[in-house]
Amino acid sequence: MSESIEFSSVLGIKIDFYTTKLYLFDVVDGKFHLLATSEAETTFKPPYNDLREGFFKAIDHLQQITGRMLIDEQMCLIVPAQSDGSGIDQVAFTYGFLNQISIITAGLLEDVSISSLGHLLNTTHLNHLDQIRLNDPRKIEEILSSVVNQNPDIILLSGGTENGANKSIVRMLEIILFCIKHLPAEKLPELVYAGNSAIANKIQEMTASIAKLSVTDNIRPTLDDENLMPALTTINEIASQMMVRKIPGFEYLFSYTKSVPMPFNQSNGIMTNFLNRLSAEKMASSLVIDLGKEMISIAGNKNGSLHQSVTENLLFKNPERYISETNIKEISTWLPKSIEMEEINNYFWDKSIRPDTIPNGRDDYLLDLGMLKNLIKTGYLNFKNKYSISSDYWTQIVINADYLSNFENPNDITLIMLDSIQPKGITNLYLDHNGILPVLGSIAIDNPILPIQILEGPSISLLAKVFSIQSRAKFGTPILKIRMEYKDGTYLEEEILKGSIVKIALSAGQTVKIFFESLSNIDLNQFGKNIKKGLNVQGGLCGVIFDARGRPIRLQKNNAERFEHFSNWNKSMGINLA
Amino acid sequence: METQIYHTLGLAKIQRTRIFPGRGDVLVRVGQKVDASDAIAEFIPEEKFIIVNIRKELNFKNSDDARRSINVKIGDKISKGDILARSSGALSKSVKAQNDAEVVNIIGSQVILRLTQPPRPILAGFESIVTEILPFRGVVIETNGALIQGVWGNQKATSGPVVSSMVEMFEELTPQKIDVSFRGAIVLGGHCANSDVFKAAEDLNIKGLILSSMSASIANAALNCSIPIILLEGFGPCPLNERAFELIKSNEKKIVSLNTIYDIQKFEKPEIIIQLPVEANAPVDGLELRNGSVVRVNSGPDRGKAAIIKKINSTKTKLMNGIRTTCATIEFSDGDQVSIPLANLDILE
Repeated sequence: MSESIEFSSVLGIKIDFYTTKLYLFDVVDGKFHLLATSEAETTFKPPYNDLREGFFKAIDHLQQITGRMLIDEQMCLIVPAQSDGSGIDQVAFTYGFLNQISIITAGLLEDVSISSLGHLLNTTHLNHLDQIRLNDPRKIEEILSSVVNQNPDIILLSGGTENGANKSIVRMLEIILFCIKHLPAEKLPELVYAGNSAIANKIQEMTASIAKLSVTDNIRPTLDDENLMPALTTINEIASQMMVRKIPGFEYLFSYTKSVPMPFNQSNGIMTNFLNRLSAEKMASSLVIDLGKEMISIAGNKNGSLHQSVTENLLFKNPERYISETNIKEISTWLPKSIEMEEINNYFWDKSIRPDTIPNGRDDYLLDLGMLKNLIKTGYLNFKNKYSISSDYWTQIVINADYLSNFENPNDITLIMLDSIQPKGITNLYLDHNGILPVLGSIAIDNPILPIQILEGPSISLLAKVFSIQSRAKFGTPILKIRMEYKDGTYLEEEILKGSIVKIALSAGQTVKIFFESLSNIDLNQFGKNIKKGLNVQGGLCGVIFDARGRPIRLQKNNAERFEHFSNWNKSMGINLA
Repeated sequence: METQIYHTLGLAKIQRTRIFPGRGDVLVRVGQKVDASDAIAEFIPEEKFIIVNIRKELNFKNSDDARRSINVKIGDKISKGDILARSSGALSKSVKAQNDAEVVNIIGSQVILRLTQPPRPILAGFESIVTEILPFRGVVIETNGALIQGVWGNQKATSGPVVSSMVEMFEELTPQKIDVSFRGAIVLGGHCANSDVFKAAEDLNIKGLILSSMSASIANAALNCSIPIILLEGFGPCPLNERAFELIKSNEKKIVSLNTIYDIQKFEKPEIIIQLPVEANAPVDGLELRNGSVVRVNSGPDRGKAAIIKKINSTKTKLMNGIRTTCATIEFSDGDQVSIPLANLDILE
């Protein structure tokens, strides 16, 4: 075993509002392996009202699968691992529970501290209630009403570069203190100061008799530099303590972890950066989609910058909003056959009551697929809009399969991703079979070797390498000729028609060399500069895919033509619609 | 996967806690009997403040003079037109309250007022006895009786005698079936696909509608309807499950409470309660599917039918559409057995 492996057995805990999932890792032949996973329903809600019930169920299951004792007779986790093989060395905990802790932020300038506050909050699960600004157009009594009515758990004040503005910050603090004085003593928020450190003492003096204050490093020490980590650590610690008070059982799990528990979004962000660094591509850009019942978390790294968004999965969390905000008609245009609008409406309204139901017949199945694509598409568009991202070029896209577990056929999942994200250029589509990425992110803090070794294993599979071909040619025109040379000297040639999707089966991991020839003046540089010399490509579970449907995919208005296209696309992908 | 429990019980102790958000008052006392539509508490959904700068309003040169001119103190409840401050001298001026309000603070020469807002009531939701007061938070109410929980409601509450327009478990409630004899009653109908039913019910002063199912196309009309409407099964044509049908039919003409106010985030469901003068035990929550569980199929061709689980398969079954999932063999009252995904079963106990 490598000497650098400090913790040999690791229990990863991933809990959100609906699901408690455990991951047991251990060292086998000198490398970390995922030994087993288990899951149970989260018992946050009545009649249990405590996370431990669900956790113990999942632990019981894990013990049965592995034959390893993980808890003792007092229902305490056995940490560290014992010589008899029981227990574990490290516990890492990542959680969902979006919007359980609320925050109001206060900053000075839009492009400076307020922008950094936004970046900071994007990595948390905090419910951002309000933003107080130096040039706030509201009257002071309106800000007072907002603070009193929304009663935040935390107020975070930032502003002033180091040795920069100070009077304005004091003025902001006066406004905050004036507002919170009108809250009952038991409802006072905790204050966090992450601004100009030159006046930290003054801030402490002003706050001392009124509210609890934590001072952390300035999130914007200079106009050009951002320093979010210290404030994020402070916020995580405060939020975790608040979660202990709000969520029974949280403290039990927290007590075994070395580091402060981390929200999914943050651990996903860590892994997105990590995957981007690991990528063999020169100009790597990675998109990680964590689609869960509670939330849709999307993290993207382009040019080294990480962007993240997290939104509630309205289907489960807020069915009324789901129904009012979902464009059912738009979804219906993606159905490969005609289904009465009345039936579609009934299905969606019924799904809002019972989101867990499994489609029975083929029509229900198609409606479910449409709904799923719409959820991913909406989450992705929200992500793009939030950061004004106009490009759909991603060299790798990873999706968590937890929510997609009903779809066993990788072809289905691949088409779901292609239809909803519509990536351009060359993209590797990956499937995170066990929704392991957030857990790896939370483990990485204390054990950076484990995620690297797990990513080398089978937890994340390549679904397909996808070439999305852009062309202005007419529908049905041959636009590209490919020649695929296998290692045994055989080859395959294929013409790609505009509007088609072509899947070429390869064994997972099989490598081929592909040569491209333009047939209708398409720009081959869209696949890279040296593309004429051919490209070595590794096949995924669905082989290699050439998607010539264009971007955005334009659907025919005529039902018969549209259904024929759907039929062809599904047939090409090996999906049986009958 | 979470199995939803929709209690459909002939007799149970029913206890509900009604909590109000923000500032409010409890309006009842322990032991008090309340009706479904009685307000048991009221709260202020949104506070509004105004700050009156007396120095500025009365043109004082210093804050001390301004402060001395203030006529109110913290905690005072004032009405619109009351004098907040008055300057002295021959040309005395005054500042009057623009709204009914409470003085919550005086800082320097600034008077901070919290405007008096119309409170919003919290309804009991069913005929019950107040068993506990949670000071500044809410009320616990309790009763014994039959309990039938629904899947959707239009956020209203009432009580009245229940009458049935149904003979079979699947019937459509049409405007023509809304009979004058239903006036003042809560009507058990079947599937509803026509929003004119709601208008007819309102016109005839029907107190509430219990439907098995409804077309999604009239859901918004149901939300806007002034009388409470509950769905027991879901959207799209669906028969009423046998268990609920029998329970309601056997209690026909009795007074029922129809509470369609619920919040899914707080794990609440719309419900029908028929008060009975018998002590009972609280229903068991947190039940899991097991052999012998009374269930209802919530999807597919057998939707709405009640059944009993005969066996839960230990391995996953591949459905016709290719989905692989855990299924149970269930038996309907006519002895027919089918295999249904666990996710498509509700517990009815």
